[in-house]
Amino acid sequence: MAQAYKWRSEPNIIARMVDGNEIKTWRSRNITLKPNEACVFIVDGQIGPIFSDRMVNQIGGGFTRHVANIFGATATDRRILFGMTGPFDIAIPFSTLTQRGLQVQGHVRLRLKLMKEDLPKMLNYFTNHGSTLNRLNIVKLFKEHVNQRLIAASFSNCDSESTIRSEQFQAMFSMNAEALLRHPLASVGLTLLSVYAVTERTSSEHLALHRVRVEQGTEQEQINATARQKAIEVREGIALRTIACEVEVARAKIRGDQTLEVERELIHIRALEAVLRSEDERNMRLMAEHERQKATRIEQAVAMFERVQSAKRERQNAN
Amino acid sequence: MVLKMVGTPVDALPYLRGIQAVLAGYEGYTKGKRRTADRAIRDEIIRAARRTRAHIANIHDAAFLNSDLTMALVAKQCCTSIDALIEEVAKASSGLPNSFFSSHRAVTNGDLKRLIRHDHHAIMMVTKATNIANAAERELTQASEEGAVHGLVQRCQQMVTSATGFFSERTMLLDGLRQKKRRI
Repeated sequence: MAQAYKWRSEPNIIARMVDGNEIKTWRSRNITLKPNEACVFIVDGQIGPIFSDRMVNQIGGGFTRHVANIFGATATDRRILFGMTGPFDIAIPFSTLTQRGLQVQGHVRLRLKLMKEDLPKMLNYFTNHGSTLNRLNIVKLFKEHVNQRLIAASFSNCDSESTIRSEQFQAMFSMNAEALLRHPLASVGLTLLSVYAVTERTSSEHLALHRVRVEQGTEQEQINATARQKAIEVREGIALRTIACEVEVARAKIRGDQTLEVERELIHIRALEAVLRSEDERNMRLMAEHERQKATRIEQAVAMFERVQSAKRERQNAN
Repeated sequence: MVLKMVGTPVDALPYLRGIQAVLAGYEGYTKGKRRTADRAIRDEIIRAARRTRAHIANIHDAAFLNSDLTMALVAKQCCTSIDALIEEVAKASSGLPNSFFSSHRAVTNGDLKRLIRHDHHAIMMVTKATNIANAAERELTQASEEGAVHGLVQRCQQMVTSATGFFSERTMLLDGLRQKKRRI
């Protein structure tokens, strides 16, 4: 029964060169190439057709080739080059200085793609390197080129952090990378889809960030203090109002008690007043009676005096 | 249900000849060659798109080196559109080699005609984009009118975008092959 052959054991592997003689030939080994996988056979130094999106039966040749190999009737050198043709990202770290000597660290993010037709160009890599190409290998391969040709040149023109963070810088960086990296990447069969620089915070930006954080902290404290003060003022107002209300209530209560007492006193006074008024009226009546009696007596005296005088005059006349 | 043996419709022959002019060996979607034809068409579109991309990339590099950043940006956008087209074509659905599900129906002459005509138009559109890109690069080397190259690159991008949209219609046609007619 045919065994499935796997060329890729982890997602970081981009391409792999397999020696066909290492694949056991007496048993069938099949491989299913997905739409983003491709393979090319290099038989006796000649590049064969590129396969993709299909099942390749008996990748090692099977029993027939095994027998032919015994009789020396087959190719002596058989290599199979596998590649992953989907887009993938790599990050190349960098550390450089700007025009003003500011140290900048970060990484360059490259989105690359291995086109199916470019798979044989991978031989340029496998000629001088190991049999497996993963993302780390690509980073190692282009790190120096990116750092020296692209990073150093791009950042040496920057005079401030704002320049590094600007859209114009990223556009310039991308275009510069396109122009500088296309051919080195193409030499190993890779196509550059997009590139951008991811710059970490510089020391000045850290300082600015710290300053902003401190200012924000101070402002926050101030806002909290103001809020607390307002809360205290509100509580104070409430307490004062409560006290005032209680005082008012107490006053009202006291006023109410006093009113009752005064009313009682008033009733008493009015009663007294009535008594006094009646006494006064009686006195007035007594005085009036006394005056009337006095007047009557005076009248009686005057009348008596008049009678005496008339009697006196009569006597005198009589004399 | 097995696919019926259907020959190439006569109506589609002019389109077939047109495709064969750029893609020798193309015989339409006859039985047993459907996936091969599909692969050949897609490979041809990708090949033409890559040619277009190479021209536009050259314009991008030249514009950048001449500090014509606007031109370089336009060229970069065009390259991005071409990358999208290549990805769309490379990862497009190709249908199945034989009827497998019960919902499949046999290919009719109408289906074949539509597919062949669609392939022809798609290839023509991408070829036209390649010609425009080629013309743009030629204009650049001749140092002709400044806006001419700019306009050509933008036209190329427009053509590539149209081709991407047009190609997606193919999936619909292939889906049509796989679905039974619904009874109303």
